[in-house]
Amino acid sequence: MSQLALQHYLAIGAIMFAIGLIGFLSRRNMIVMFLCTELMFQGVVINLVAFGAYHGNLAGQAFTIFVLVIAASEASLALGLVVLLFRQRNTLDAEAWRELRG
Amino acid sequence: MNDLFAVHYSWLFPLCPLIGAILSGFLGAKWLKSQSHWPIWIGVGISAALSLCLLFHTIQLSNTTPDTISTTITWYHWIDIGHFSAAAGAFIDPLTAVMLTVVCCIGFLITIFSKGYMAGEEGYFRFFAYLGLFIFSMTLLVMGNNFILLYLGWEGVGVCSYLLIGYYYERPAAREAAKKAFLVNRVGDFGFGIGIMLIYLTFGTVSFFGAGAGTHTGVLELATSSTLNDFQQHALAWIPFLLMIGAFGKSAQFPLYVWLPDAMEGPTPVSALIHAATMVTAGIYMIARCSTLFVQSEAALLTIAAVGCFTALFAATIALRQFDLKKVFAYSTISQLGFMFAGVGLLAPVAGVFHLVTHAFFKALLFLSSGVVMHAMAGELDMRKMSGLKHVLPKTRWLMLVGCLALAGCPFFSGFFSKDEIVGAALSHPSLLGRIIGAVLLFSAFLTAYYTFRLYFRVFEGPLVTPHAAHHNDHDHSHAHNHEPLIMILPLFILMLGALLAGYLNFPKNYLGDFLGHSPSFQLGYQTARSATGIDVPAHAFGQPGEEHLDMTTMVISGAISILGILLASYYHLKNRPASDALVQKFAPIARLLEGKFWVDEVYERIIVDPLYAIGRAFTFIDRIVVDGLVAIISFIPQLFGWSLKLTIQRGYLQGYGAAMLFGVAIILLVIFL
Amino acid sequence: MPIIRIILPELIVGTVACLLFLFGISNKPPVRRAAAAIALATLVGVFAWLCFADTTYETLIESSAAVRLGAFGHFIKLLTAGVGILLVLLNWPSNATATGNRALNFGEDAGEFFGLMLLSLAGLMLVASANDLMLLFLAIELASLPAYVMVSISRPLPVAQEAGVKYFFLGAMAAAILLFGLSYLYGSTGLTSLYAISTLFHSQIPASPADPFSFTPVLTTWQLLAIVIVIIGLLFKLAAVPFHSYVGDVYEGAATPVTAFLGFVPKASGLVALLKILFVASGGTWHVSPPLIKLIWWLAALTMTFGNVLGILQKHSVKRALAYSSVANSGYLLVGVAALIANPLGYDHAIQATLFYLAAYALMNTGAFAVLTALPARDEDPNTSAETYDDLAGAGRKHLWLGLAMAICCFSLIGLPLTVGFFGKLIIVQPALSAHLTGLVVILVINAGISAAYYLRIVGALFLRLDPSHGHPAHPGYHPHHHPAPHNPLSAPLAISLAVWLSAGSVLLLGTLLPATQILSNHTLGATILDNTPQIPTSEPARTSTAAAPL
Repeated sequence: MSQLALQHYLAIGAIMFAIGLIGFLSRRNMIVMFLCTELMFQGVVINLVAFGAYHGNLAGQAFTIFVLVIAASEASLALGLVVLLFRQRNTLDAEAWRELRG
Repeated sequence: MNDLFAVHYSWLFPLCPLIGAILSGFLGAKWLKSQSHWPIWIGVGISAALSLCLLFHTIQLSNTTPDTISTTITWYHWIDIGHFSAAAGAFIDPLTAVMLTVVCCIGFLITIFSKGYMAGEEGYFRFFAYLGLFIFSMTLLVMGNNFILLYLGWEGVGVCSYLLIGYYYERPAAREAAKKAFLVNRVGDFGFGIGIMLIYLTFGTVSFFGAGAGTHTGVLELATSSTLNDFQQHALAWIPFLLMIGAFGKSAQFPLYVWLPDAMEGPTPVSALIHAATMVTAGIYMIARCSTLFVQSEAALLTIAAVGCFTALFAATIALRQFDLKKVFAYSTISQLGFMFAGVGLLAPVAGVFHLVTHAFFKALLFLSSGVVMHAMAGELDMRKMSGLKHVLPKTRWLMLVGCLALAGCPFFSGFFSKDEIVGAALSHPSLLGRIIGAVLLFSAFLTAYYTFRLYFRVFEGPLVTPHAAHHNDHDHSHAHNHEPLIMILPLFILMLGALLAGYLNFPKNYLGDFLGHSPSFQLGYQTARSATGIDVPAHAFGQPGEEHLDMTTMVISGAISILGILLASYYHLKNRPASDALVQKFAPIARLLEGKFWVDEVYERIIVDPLYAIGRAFTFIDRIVVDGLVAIISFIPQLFGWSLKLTIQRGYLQGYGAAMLFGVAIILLVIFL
Repeated sequence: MPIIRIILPELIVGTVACLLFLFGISNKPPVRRAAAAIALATLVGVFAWLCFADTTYETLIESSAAVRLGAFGHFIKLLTAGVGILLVLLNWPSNATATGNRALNFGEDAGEFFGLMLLSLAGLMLVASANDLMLLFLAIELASLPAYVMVSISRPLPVAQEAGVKYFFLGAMAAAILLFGLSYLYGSTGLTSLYAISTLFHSQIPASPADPFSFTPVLTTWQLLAIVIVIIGLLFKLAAVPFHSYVGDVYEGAATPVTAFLGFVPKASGLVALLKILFVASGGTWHVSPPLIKLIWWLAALTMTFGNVLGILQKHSVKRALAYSSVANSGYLLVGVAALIANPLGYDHAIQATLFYLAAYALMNTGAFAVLTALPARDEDPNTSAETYDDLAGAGRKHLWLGLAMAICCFSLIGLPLTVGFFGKLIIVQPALSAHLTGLVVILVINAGISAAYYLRIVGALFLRLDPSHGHPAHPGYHPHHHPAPHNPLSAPLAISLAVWLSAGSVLLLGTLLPATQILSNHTLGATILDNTPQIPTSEPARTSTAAAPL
């Protein structure tokens, strides 16, 4: 009980991922939706670091660095896109945008 | 004979007209325009020169050798699938040489005439391109060394005929006529095609003479072999009938003749070239070429002779009461083709081919002359509306007169000799049927003389009447508008020489016959005929060396009959025109029957076309209700599926898409791990 | 410098892309035009170099570095550069201010636009070289992220931005799922090198399996879970079910030339990564666990069917119909993948078929979108080209050559003979049949039938429907004397016409000129070795079909 084992980290990672997923699907504000994808990424990052420590190699941490880079670039992209949309309609509601449909 | 120039370069025969056709077809619309005739003139001209060259060289050869003259040239290996192979190549013998000369030379004259006749027509280049294509197909037809090539040319001329009949496609009548010609020919070609397939099944080859005459590897030689198995013998009983159906269709014999009169909707040069001189004689050529196949079956020969004879009489009677110049000549063509069929059917193929040659000259002359009339009369061809045209068209009148004399079989004109040979062959035929046919042919010849001169006297003699009087205010000869331009009269003049002199090709000695006798088709046909039929076939009928035969009695009778017909016509239509009307009044029902062309078209309409339409409507109904219904149901399933997808997930909600994706992920994970 | 030689193409393309971002600082039209020209020249150069480059990478293949390359990767790069040329031509700025062409308007950002495009292409090439989980992920993202931006800036219309946002958000979600799977793959093996993981899995092949012909590695549940999640993450790039739902919206909203881009680059990156992951999962033998075979089977069947039934319902937007057609084509590609893993012994013909179909699809899809780019819309909005069936009505008779090109591409997409699509379908059916996937082949054939309905609707709209703006109220058949004069064949700008003719021409050429088809199929047959030769033990019975397939 006193020792934090791999499965604890994995559980945390999975839970963060799930929370992100649920938030992504349930929240309608686009910035919050984006934060949720970030949450999913961070869940994965916890996995990676935990696995790295478990296997005793640095690959997990190296992977983490790259994931953070991707996350950062996606953040800049997301903010740019969201700002563009906000200028058009003055709303951040994801459901306001359904001009394109089946 | 392979060293002959024209043989060595035999591929030039079809190629030159084809190149001409391609050039004027593709360059004509934009660049050549009213000069579109040049590629065809040059292309067909080369072919015509080559054909004369070939003819003279072959004649020279035939004078020095008693053997057969033939050669097979392979152009290239065309089809090679499994055991089936057909090489595209030429088979050249005296028959080919004669046919090539007729096709190319008359074709050349007609292309020259066409420049004057067609000048200023819409789609001038199109006309010449089709003409070149036609001569290409026709040379293939008469040169091909196997049945496949023959069939290709056969269909090719059919297509060109269709295109040219429908040349004035704005006119509904032309469209209908083109369709009719095509469809009726399909009936014949169907039989022909099956015949060729049966030939391949029976003999395992489609070549006429294999690698050459005497090698016994081609159909025409294998058929004479004495070691045929049962299947081959049965097949040989059928093959002539199947090929015959094709010949009847292409050469407009009863009951498939109905397309030819309607085909006169095409431009007149086309009627002259395709529907009088060349294409319609393809059937005669084919039967003469394959005589070894035909002479073995007495039934087939008698069928051909009987159908030919009946057609000759039948068409001649219809021609009696036609008023359109071209229609008269169309029925006359059908009738003369019947004579030729009777000739080949009664074991006298030389006479048939002889008549083919003379007929090509004088019928082309007659059609082109009526083309000049039509040109001058602004398209009017009804002989009731014209009379005494010799004052307006003095040159044409003489040309027409020579043509009519030849057609009527007036002594010393070409038609006389060739027709007489056929009649003579029939009368000297040992069977009773042969003699009956001879008698009927004589009567048809009498009718021919009568209706020919009815036309001539009505149109060219008597007081001047033209359909468009206003068009010809000055009836004297010095009017500014020349109705007989040199470019049209010159070819006619050459044709007229042919119509005058072609008869002497086979008279007083059988020059043409001897020449044709060097063809392996004729030689083998003769031998087979003697051994297969048991009839004492006269050697000269196949052009084989033997006693010369000059049947003076028949000559005198047929000459007299022809003159009688002319005199009768001159009484009713020149001296005493009202008398003819009185005669018509007297026999009004018969006249109506003839004017209605025995109502054959109407009968066909009732018994063939209408039932087909009814069946078609039934099928349409089934198609619409049953098949379309099934299709609708089948196509409804994916649509239903699609709508359900579209309404559930393709609604434009970003998070809806996300949820759908996640749903899919969940299903995948569940399926794999549970 | 072996590693440099391996990644030289993507290095060049990526470097030029960075250079083009510098061009973006300038806002002079000639500079913008130069950006396009430089992108084109780069791709042509890379294409030519790859054509003549030595394809034997044996000396380099043994390294277990982050990048490895075989004939497979070489072919993918060649295809990328080749299709990239068409795509640059299609996006060519042809208006006076060099802000785009009729279908496309990237404003003054031509430098950035072509820079992004090259980056994405470099990403696709890098996917082909990647030999490490990290690099694979980075390469996939490199191929995708620029595409999000390209969709958004492709035209100043709200729909384009909506499409960009939808694409981005769903793509980010899919990337997270992919990443989750990759983290588990790393966690369950402790390795990130694909080669090392493959070797590890190979060592998990039972020494004496129950079935003597099976060489399937026995994966732990975690490993299998990781592989499955990674595959699911890749389905988004591939636009396969269940990740197909974004396709319609995004393809419709993006400018047509960018849609053509989306139809190839992300899809190819997904396919290549999928093949690599399956290769790794099989320990280099192509024998994968039965659940994976079943998974790919169902994905192929559902993707084909969903794509086509959704396509047939699109009665308004041609772009949307073609978008779903691209979904269906992913399904056909997955049939090849299914044949591959269902019959590992015939792996070379299956990969050949998949690559051949990918190349064929790239050509005909680009060709179809290129014609849409070249045709004008009904209302002459400066920023739109033909998008709907109404736009196409009668356009085929007005622009005869463009109509013919579209007809060629549509016939090819149906799979009619005399087009490359026919051989594509033929060649993909053969390995599926020898893998006994009869059910899948039946579904494929039914789908080809369904798809014919909407492809023929496109051709019908082009040639049979009457252009309403045209003054002929009469029946649409026959005006012998006054045809609407066919416009100049090059009625579209030169570069776009070039793209139309290059793609439609090669579709026709590869379908009619059998030697050309043979060259492509030989190329694909030579590109079937992913990493190294599958390590199938030699004790197994001789292969039943060693002779090359007829193509």
